[in-house]
Amino acid sequence: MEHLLEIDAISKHFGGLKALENVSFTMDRGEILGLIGPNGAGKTTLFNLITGRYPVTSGTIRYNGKDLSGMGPSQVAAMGIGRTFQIVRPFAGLTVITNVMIALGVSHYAGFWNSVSRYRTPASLKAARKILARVGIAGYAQQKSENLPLGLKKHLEIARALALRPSLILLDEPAGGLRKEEMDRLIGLVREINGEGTSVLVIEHNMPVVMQLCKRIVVLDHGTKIAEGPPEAIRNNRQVVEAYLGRTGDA
Amino acid sequence: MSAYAMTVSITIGIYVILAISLNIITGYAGQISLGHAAFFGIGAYASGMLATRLGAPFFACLPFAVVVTGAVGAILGIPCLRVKEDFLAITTMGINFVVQAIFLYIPFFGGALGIANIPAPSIHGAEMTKSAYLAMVLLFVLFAILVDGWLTRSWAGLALASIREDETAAEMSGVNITRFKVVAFVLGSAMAGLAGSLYAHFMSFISAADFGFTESIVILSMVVFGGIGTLRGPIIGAIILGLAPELFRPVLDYRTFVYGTMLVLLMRFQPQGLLGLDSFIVRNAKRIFTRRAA
Amino acid sequence: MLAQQIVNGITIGSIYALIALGLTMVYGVLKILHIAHAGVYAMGAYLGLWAYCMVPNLFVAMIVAMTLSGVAGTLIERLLYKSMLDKSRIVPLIASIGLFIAMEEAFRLIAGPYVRAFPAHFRQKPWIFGPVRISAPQMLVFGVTLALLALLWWVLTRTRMGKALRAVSMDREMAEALGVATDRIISLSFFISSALAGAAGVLVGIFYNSVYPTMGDIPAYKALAIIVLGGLGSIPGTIFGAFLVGISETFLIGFVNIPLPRDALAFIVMIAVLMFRPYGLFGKE
Repeated sequence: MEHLLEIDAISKHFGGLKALENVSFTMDRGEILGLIGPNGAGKTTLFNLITGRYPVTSGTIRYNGKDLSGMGPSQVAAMGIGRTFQIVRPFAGLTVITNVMIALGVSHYAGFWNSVSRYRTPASLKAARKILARVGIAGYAQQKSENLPLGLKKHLEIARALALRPSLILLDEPAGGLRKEEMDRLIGLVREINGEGTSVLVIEHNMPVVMQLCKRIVVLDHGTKIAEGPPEAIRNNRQVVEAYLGRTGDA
Repeated sequence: MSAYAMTVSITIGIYVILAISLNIITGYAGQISLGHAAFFGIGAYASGMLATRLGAPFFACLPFAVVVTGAVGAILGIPCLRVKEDFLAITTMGINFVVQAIFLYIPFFGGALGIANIPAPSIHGAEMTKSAYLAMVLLFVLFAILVDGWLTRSWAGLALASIREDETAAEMSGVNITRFKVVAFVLGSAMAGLAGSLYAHFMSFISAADFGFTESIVILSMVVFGGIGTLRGPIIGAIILGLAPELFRPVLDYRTFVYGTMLVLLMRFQPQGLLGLDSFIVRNAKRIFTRRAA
Repeated sequence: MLAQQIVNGITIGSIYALIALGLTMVYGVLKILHIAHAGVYAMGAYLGLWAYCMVPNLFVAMIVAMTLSGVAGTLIERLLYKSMLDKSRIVPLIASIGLFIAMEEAFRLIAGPYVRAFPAHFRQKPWIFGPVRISAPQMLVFGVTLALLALLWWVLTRTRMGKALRAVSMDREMAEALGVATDRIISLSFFISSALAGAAGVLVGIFYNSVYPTMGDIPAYKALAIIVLGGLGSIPGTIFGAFLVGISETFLIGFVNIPLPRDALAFIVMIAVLMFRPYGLFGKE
C-alpha cells in the first residue's frame, strides 16, 4: 500500500541559503509523526513546502500517491491537508464560527455557481457547529476570534483545519506558549482527532509532548535529516543530542 | 422636486454606486485602491465614445461600458496582484495618473477637449426627462445594493473577507486568493464603469479632469466616512459628502477646508466611520435597541 | 546638451531626494504613508518667504522655515498619527489626505490663491563649464541639498540618536524592548523629515521663483512614487529613486518626444519596476 505522504529527496534553497537539503521520509495513514530539530533546522520551511506556499528547489512531495509540485496552497488545502501556524493567525476580525465557515467553503470556491451560492445554510451552519463542538469551543461561536485566549485560538486553528475534512493535518508547535492544563487539553484533542482517522504531522519543541504523542520522530538539523525512529531511539541518538546540546551551548 | 434638486440627487446616486463599488475592493477584499476614479473614467469614456463616434443608443453604451471597464479592471488587476498593502495603494494611485494622462494626451480620446455632445438616453425617439433619468439612476443604485447584498451572503463574499483578514491563512483554508482578488477588482471596476456611463450621458460632456486622483480620494472618503466594510456605510457616506458641497454653499470659500478638516477629525475620533461596526452611533443604537428588547 | 541635461536632472533629483527622504524615514518608523508631508513642504516655502520678507537673509529664512516645519511635523505626529497606529492602515492614510487638503486650503485662505514670487536676487553670474551652465539658484539648490544630505547621513550613521532611529525603523517593538525611547525617536524623525521638507519648499520657491498653495500637489504624488520605487523605508533606495526619476524625466522630456506628461512618467517607471520587484528596488519582503 502506498504511503499517505512521501517526502522524496526535497531541497529548498533561498538564494545561497540551503534551508533544506535532500530530505526524505514517509508517513503512513493514521500516524502521528513528530518533526523536531533546533531552531533554523528547516521544520517550518518543510511545512511551507508541503502546503505549497513555496515551490521546492528539487525533489517531490507525494500525497496519496499524487505529486503536489506546482500546486498552490489553496489546491493543497482542497486536497485535504490542513495546517496550523506557529504564531496563531485566526481571521481576527471575524467570529469564531465564520472562521470555520471559511474553510468549510473549500468545495465552494471552485465553480462560479458554487461560489455565488449563499453560505449561511442550515447545513453549513450545522457542520460548522459540529466542528466547533468537536474541538470544544462551541460556546464561543459568536465571539470575535481575536478575543479568545491563546489556548482556544489554537483550538480554533485546529477546527479550521478540520473543516477542510483533511486526511492529514500539520501542526506547527501546538503546545508553544500554553499553560500546562491548556497543553493537556490540546494533546487530548490531537489524540482524539487522530483516533478518528486523521493523520498528524507535528512540529514541537516541548519534548515530553512529542514523546507522549508520537510513535515515530524525524529529526532535522541545518536542513538535513539526521535521525528517524521511535522516541526512545531518538532520545539516545548521539547526533541528535549533539545537535541540541551544541545549540544550547551557543545560547 | 426642482431641477436643481434632481441634478443633485442624480449626482449623489452616481456617487452611491461608486462608493458601493469601491467598498467591494477596499472594504470587503481589503485591497486599498487610491485610483478608483480611473475606472469611473474608463466607463464614462467607453460609453461616451461609443455613443458619439458610432451613434450607438444609450442602452447599448451602458452594458458596453460595464464590460469594457470590467475587462480593464481584470487587466489592471494583474499588476495589482503582484504588490501588497502600501505598495498596492501607490500602484493604484499611479494607475489613476497614467489613465488620466492617456485620456488627456492621446488624441483618440479627444485630448484636452474631452468628449462632448454625448446624447441623453431616449426612449422611442423621445429624450428621457430629468426625472426619468433620476428614476433610472435610482434603479441602478438598487441594483448595486442587490449585487452587494448577494455578494456578502455568498461563499465568494466569505472568501473576500478571509483575504482581507489574512491572506496566508485564507490560502491554507482553501481560498484561491488570486482568483478572488480578481473577482473583487472586476466586480468593483465594472460597477464603477456603470456609474461612469450614467455620468457621461447625464453630463453630456466629459474630460480627463473629471477622473483624477482627487476624485478617487472623494470616493474613498465617502466609503471611509460612512463606515468601510459595511453596506450602509458607503451609502450614507456618499449621501452626506455628496450633499456637503450644497450644505456648505453659504461658506463657499471655506468648503474644501471644512471638508479636509472633517476627514481629519473623523479619522481621529471615529475611525470606524459614522456607521461602521463599533462606531459611536451603531454602538448606542444597538444598546438602546437591546434594552428595549429586554 | 547631454551634460546640461544631466546637471538639470541632478538638480531636480536632489530636490526630490530631500522631500522623499523625509517621507521614507517617517514610513520607516510608523509605516504610514504621510501624504500631508507635501503640505509641510509648501508650508516651509511660505514660512521661508515670510521670514525672508522680514529679514532679507536666505540663511535666516532657511533656519526659520526648517524649525517651524519641523515643529509642525512633530505636532502632526503627536496629535494625529499617534492615536492611529493600532487602527487599519486606511485610517491614517485618509487622515493624512484630509490634512493635506485642509493645509492647502489654509494656505489659499491666508496667503491668497495667487502665485507669489520669491524675491531672492542673486548677483552671482552663472558658472560656465564648457557646454554646461549652472545658474546661481541651481548652485544654491545643489549646495544646500548636498549639505543637508551629508548632515543627515552623519546623524543617521554616526550618532546614538541616528542609530536608535534606524533601530526603530527596522523593528519598533524590538527597539523598545532594548530600551530605546521609541516615542521620542518617532517624534524626532518627524522633526527631521519635516525640517527637510521645509528646506525643500524654500529651495523650490527660490529656484522657480514662485510659491503657491497647491505647490505640494505634484511633489506629494511623485515623492510617493519615488519611495515606493526605492522600497518603502529604504534610505539608499529613496536617494537612488529620486535621482533616477529626476534624471529620466529631464532626459525623456529633453530627447524623446513621448506623448505623456512628465508627471505620469514617474508612475510608469514605478509600476514597471514593481512588476519585477514587488517590494521596490531596495526593499525586502
